[in-house]
Amino acid sequence: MNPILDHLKNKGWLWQAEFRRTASQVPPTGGFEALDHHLPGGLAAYPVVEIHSPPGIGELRLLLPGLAAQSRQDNRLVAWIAPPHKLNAESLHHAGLPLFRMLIIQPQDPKQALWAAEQCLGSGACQSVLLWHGDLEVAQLKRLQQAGKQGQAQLFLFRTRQSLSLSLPVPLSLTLSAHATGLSIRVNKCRGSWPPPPFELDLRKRWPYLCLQQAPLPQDHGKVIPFHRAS
Amino acid sequence: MQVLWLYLDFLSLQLDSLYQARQSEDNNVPIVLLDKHDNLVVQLNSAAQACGIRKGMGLGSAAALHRELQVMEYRREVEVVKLEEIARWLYTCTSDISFWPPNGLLLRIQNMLSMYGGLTSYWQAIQARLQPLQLSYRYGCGLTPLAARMLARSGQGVISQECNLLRSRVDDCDLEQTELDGKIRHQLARVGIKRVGQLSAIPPGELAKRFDVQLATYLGRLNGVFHHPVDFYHPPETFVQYLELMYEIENSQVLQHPIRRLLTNLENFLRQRDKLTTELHFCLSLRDTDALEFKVQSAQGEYRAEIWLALTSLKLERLSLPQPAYAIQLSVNQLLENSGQESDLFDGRRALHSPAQLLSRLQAKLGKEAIWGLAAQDDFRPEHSSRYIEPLQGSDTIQWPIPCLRPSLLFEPPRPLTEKVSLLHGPERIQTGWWDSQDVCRDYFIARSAQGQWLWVFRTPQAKWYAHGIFS
Repeated sequence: MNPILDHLKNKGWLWQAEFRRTASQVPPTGGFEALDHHLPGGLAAYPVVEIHSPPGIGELRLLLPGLAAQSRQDNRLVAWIAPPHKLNAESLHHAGLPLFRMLIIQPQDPKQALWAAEQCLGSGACQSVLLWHGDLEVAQLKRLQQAGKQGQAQLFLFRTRQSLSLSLPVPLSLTLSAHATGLSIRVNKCRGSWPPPPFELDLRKRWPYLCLQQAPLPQDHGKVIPFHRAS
Repeated sequence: MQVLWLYLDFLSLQLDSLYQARQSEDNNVPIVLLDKHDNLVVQLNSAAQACGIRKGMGLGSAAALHRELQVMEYRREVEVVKLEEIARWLYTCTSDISFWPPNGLLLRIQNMLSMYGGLTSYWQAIQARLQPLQLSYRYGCGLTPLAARMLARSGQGVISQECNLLRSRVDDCDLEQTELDGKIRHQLARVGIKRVGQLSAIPPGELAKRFDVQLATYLGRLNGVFHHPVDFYHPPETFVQYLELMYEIENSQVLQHPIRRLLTNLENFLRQRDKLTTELHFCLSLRDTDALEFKVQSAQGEYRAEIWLALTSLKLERLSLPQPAYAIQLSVNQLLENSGQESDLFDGRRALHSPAQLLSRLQAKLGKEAIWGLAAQDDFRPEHSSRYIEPLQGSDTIQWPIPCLRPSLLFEPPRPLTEKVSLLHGPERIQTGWWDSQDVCRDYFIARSAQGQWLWVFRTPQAKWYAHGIFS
């Protein structure tokens, strides 16, 4: 093979269309099953996940089961940097996250938020970092990626500002929108393969009260339980 | 065993202890220290010496010899503080140290000789220990404290434990070198006594008849006839160090360099005691205004200067100096036992920093008020059921039932509901808190906005609507 192509391929800058990650390459984390089904390699395979979403449609609920599953295997911290509102302990506890391993950082300005994110990612003390940030430059993202690699931490980047430029070199970029049965997800970018077509994620099973349509009733629901009469 | 003393006389202690960014020969600015009371030069550096300035010169003549002469005030208290630092530094080498303020240290050395295997190697060890401090000093051995002091100050540099040699050296000394009053010396000179040996030859009884008791006491102590009580130094439990800067520093970043020096000393201090600390107090003395104090904290006990310097520089970034600083004091009050850090060798992950170390870094840069942990509390009111607490402090034992459908993000305080929403579930009434005058009576609903946002809204008895959170 052409040595330049070889080199590019080794660096991960070049990929072939037929290349697909197999499930075995990715440690099973659980929790993200709904998403993993649609994304090549599963959500855990992407060190940085960019999420474009209007607030409050279920963007965190999408991640909570996965974070909880990771927390069961990994006793490191989960850092929340510059969340737009106050985190609710009850909700996180209910989702299965260990509260004492939550680290909430409310920096003064976006620059400090980036600094904190880099520290958390690079420290090796955090399993995941959730960062709410408006505009991010390519160089800043690269630094975060590098830090995440060093500290083996996954970064979830919530883009608070709806920016049109989707050109950040993130491994995975999702755009979420509300849907009657849960979330409608468009994959903007997905390193290593073509982005899969847009899909709907059915959250009715897990969050029945937070969907417009109710989940189809299980088959055995109509079973009549015989009432034992006292004789 | 014959008691043997070693006296170290530091010639220019205040001058040597001034912080010099680079003690290089090229920027040879002559510096003199001036005694305020009689305006005479008491200490001077080599550059000043080269200009012809001598000790005991007046300010006028000294200033006339060089136009760039820097003049500083001699302060005895600075020397005394520095003397204690030297004692602390020497304490690892030798045990019995006594202060002779402002600029002398007396060591009782006969006990140490068997450990070091003789006077020569002991003296080498002391010299090697003193070398990094870059101080100029004179030294001398003696059989009594006063004899050692006199021989040291005579500049002969006698290092010996032979009694006869030491005695003869003392006898050879001029009366000028003793610490006797000028009046007594004058009286003695008039009867032809010029040397200590001549004085010692006179029977004490005769001396006591003709001179006052001060001379007899002095002579008795010098010759070892009288006991000379000496207090020995005990190392302190806490670390306090004061560093005067050579130049006033305006930029807080430049302060890093002198601070590094202090932290290195702290590292030595802590390592010798096998201790850690979690908090440093810095006090910057500023020109024309009150001193600026700040703390640097680490969630994990630490002794290494490198790590403390990183935390301190993060703190310094946030600091702006209203006035230039001329001195720094570092103090550490609380010491912790070094209990060792354990981490799983087979964890497979390179833990670069522990959570506590990460926390210290974040707190140093962003401030303590920016970092929080999360805890649930047994309360029905949403404002109280979820609390931000000190980071890494909470526990995960929750003994009470947790309501299952709660928003992940809460508005604080609740916002008036301004958009049109459709109520989908509810109501859930929360009416409690009558005991602490923060009582609430609310009917909560789960609502969905037209954009598909899931909101947690409530209605008050006055039929006002608020949004309290989003089901993010």
